[in-house]
Amino acid sequence: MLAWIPFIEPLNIFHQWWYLLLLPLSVGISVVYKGVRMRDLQGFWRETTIMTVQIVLAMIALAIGVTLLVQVIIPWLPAE
Amino acid sequence: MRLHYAFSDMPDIDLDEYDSTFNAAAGVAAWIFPGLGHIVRGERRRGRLIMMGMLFLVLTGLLVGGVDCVDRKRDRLWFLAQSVCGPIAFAADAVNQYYVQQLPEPQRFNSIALNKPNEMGTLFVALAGLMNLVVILDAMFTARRSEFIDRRGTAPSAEIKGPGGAGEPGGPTA
Repeated sequence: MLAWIPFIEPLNIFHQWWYLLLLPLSVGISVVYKGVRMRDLQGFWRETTIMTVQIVLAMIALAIGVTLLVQVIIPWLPAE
Repeated sequence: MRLHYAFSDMPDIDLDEYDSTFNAAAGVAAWIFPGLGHIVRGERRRGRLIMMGMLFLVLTGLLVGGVDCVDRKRDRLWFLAQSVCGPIAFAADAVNQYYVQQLPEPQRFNSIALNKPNEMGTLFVALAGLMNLVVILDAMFTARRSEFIDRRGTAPSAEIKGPGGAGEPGGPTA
């Protein structure tokens, strides 16, 4: 880690913790989207926070749904 | 041309009544540096916020994946999306092609992202590019946003009569 050169070498800690990057990804998307979409930018950071939380919760819900599908529902189906 | 809301009782809007000025210079500025298009149009705060969000996405992507995640030769399709970020993406690719790829093998192996860091870095910059496409279009047609329907589905323009119009709840404050 001490020899790491930012922007030239990748940040390898995210091999294991890659899903934590959902948070900065949704923050960035929300900031740009709300910057474009809001009419007068009043309450910008509140709206951005709400959208970030919505994205993260939606992704968690999707993950739970897909996990249930793969781990529970599909094994119940008849093999043939 | 009329805008009709199929799933709402909102009145139809005649698009011809609106000032939809086209500003190509703002579009080019938005491509040269994300957010600059809105600053050129005089929307400084909006431009700064967009610039901040875009730079956050791009720099986080480059930090996680290194410049190797922008590669016009090996990841051509991804680069199509990334290139919409503007010269930042081309600069990252140039550093990758002319510096990282020219390093001696042991050093180059340290600089090439594998697996998740590569995927996430590539995704961050590509998403930034796709968001910048929206920003470029918005910079070119900014007049539309201020006179269209806001997120609550109300009609903010003074020209539109009815629920949520000027001076009514949900209508424009200025």
